[in-house]
Amino acid sequence: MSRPPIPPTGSVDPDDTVLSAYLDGECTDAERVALDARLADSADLRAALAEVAAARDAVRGLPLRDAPPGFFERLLAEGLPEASAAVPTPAPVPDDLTARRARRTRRWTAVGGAAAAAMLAVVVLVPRPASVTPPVATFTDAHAVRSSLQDDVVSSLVPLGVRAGFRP
Amino acid sequence: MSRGRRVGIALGLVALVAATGATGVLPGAYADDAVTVLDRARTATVREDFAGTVQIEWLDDGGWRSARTKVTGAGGAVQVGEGARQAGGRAEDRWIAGVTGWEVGWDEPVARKSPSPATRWDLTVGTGIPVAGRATVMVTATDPKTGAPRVRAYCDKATGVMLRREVLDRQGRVVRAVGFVEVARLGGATAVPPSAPQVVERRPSARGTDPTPDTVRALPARFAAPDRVTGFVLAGRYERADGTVQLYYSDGLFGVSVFQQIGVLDPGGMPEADARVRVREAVALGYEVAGGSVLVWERDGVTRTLVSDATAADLREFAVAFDDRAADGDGLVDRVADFLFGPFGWR
Amino acid sequence: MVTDGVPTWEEVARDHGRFMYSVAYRLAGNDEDAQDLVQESLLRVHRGLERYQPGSLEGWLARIVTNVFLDEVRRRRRRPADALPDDPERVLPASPAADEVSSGLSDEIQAALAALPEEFRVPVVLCDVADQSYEQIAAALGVPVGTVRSRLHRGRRLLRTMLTEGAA
Repeated sequence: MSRPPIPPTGSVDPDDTVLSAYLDGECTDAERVALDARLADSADLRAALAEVAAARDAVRGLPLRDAPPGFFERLLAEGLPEASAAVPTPAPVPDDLTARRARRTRRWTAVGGAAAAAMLAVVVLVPRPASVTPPVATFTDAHAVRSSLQDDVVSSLVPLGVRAGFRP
Repeated sequence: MSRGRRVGIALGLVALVAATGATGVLPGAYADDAVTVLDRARTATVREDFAGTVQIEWLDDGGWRSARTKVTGAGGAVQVGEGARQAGGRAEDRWIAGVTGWEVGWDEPVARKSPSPATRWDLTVGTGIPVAGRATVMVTATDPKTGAPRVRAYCDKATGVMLRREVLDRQGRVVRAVGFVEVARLGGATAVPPSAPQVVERRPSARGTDPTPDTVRALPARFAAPDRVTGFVLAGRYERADGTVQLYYSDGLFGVSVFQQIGVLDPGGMPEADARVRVREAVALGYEVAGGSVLVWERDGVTRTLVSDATAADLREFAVAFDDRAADGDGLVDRVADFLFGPFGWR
Repeated sequence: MVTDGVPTWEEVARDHGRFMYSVAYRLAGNDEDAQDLVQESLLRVHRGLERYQPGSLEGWLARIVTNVFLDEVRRRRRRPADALPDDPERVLPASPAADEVSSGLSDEIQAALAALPEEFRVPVVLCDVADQSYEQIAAALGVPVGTVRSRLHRGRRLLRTMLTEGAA
């Protein structure tokens, strides 16, 4: 494959689609080599690339969007409008997250049961030290304080200025 | 002037700066520049006066959570929060609002520095989206193994103050963010200095904030403290008032605290967990809170609580490696003998 | 649980509903249309109208949601009275869900994304929200890879312009 010609320094076409392909890892090796060379020479091209990267990162940084509460719950409980007659209505499920949680709970209950049995065997043989309940809210505060000494002060300390977020 | 126009002008300024070569995105390049931007951000909050509102957002099993609080910086001091939830700092002093007044959160120099973020991460500098109406320079830290961005820091173009920090998971999705939603006086008029306390108490409070912990030179037996864990370097170890030992690890980008207590974990006294995850043979309780990801588990009579601003997956990886190193610290026979007969002495 | 490599619509709803909803929301720009898109997409999954070939399940689901969206766009074009809203007030939710993060940054990006013509918005969403390769996007849209590359880049350039100036 022949190497594409390298445009003269300063010649920047912001509509050059290779910029997006470069960021997405979708350009050819030859295109990448050529663009690397042009980027090293051209501040304008670096700026153009930065602009595309900013737009790309902006969309990629959008959080996942949750459906309104009850949307999937209703679908799963009532079935799809045009499909409900064709398939048995599934048992009502609270919602997808709760369902996942419930499955996890079942899974870990089994694991926990085995672990509990193993622990029981150990307890019979060996005296155990006292039980502890880690003060997790205090620990998160202490972590924030320590982090703030070497990382950005504001972003480290902000958790100390809001409720911790632990569920009761 | 409309908000959109302000955004436009701010972005235009950033583009102008980028066009002059001061910034730009070159994957895998300009790590030194990125480190400079991050270093500048760390000191900018001391140099600059500002007052604003910061929003912290985090993702837990139930969806996105968020909270806002006030932040003031003036005269070299920073203060966050209102009412009973307040904390502040100047240089290496930290103070926290307790029930009856201000208390010491920290008051001693940090002996060991964190590693450079460029050691573990690929850093790039680019043009950021405006934050709180201000033009930003964006530092992106990318995992060199996967190419996935893991942190984006938006720093004020004019003053260097970090205006927004986003943590992304291994799939490149934002899972935690803290940033200004409004900011005033930055780079301009002097703000009213925060009410830095003159008198603070060195005692535990009802809220549970300990006085500054003492640096530990010799660890209690059965506590582990490996120097390196999954790219993190041990940067401090401290004993708290109740005998808990806190280790602080850093990879230059994220910090992990490991709190170790002698005792069997009593899950009945714990808050409802967001998740239960396996750490080798143990089942750990997982939480996603404003302060970060938390994992709690117990092995051989030692209960460990990990807190970090890293993602839950990264923290679990750390926990598994730490637990593995802790188990390898002594031979099995020694550990059993220690468990049965050993005093909780110091080595 | 996936039977013979083909998931049921309930499994898809429970395990991938949030992903589908996110893609649908970023394509449609509002919750009302996103719910319709997801419901219709699950119906297509149920009816087996879109053949699943074991591989990237989320890629397959993103393709289904996209096809439903494009079908709806074409249908509304035939009925101009139902045209997709261009009113920015419409593309943003009137009031965010109780626990939704409503950062100004995300809202501005979402508004700009919703204002993109769909020929550019679709590749941007498929690439930057659904994390699809150019080849997968090309297959989903039935266009050459070069067209995807061009539309994606132009979409990002437009997005950047709107974030810079268009919000005025």
